[in-house]
Amino acid sequence: MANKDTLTIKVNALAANESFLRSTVGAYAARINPTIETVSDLKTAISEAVTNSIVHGYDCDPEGIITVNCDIVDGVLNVEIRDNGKGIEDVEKAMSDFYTTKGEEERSGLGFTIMKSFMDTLEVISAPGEGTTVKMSKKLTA
Amino acid sequence: MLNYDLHKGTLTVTLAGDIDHASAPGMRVFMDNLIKKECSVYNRFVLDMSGITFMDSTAVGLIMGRYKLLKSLGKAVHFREPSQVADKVLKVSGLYTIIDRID
Repeated sequence: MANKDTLTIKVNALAANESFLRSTVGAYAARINPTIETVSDLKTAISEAVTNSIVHGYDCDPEGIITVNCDIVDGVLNVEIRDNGKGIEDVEKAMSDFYTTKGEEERSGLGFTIMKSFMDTLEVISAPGEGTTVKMSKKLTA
Repeated sequence: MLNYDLHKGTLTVTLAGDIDHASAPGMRVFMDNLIKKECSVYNRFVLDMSGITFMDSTAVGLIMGRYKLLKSLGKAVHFREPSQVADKVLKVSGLYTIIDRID
């Protein structure tokens, strides 16, 4: 049986928490000695999901709460990033390359594209008014 | 972190450190002011990315926005020496198809 190894963090939707969360999850993953490139990929994907929660889920309202749950099972890191923000109307459309609802703010529309290419799995659960949960996983060791 | 150098018609801006949603707005204001203020004395814009320790899709939006501005002013735009982390995001984003790399 795999040993239990979990991490839960709850923070407000502040831009400063983007670097805090990606660095913290990166440090958590480091315990099983992944390559620097693997940690870097992981940090980029976490940053995308957290930025989405702040910018889109909560429209930059710092009252919003973001919850990050992680575990490591058999060398695979599973991470779940959850907000209780406004949710996504059309998840499939939101996940297509270059699609953005905030073009005037120079958003590139590549957040989900990067999450997809930098992680092994990506699942997005969302509905209008019900927040968004992003679940991703990545094998940390060769 | 941001530095610039103006030499023989080339404006080189060096972006370093982490570029994300928290740091991008300040970089955008700085670059836009510089791009417009020095407009008459350079025709080539080089973005030195060797010191970038982190970037995500917010940085891609930042670069795209400056690229559009520079193109509208008739300037040539190039990347120089992207760090490994920058290179990977630039590849996935397709930015190399519009901006070439000179090392």
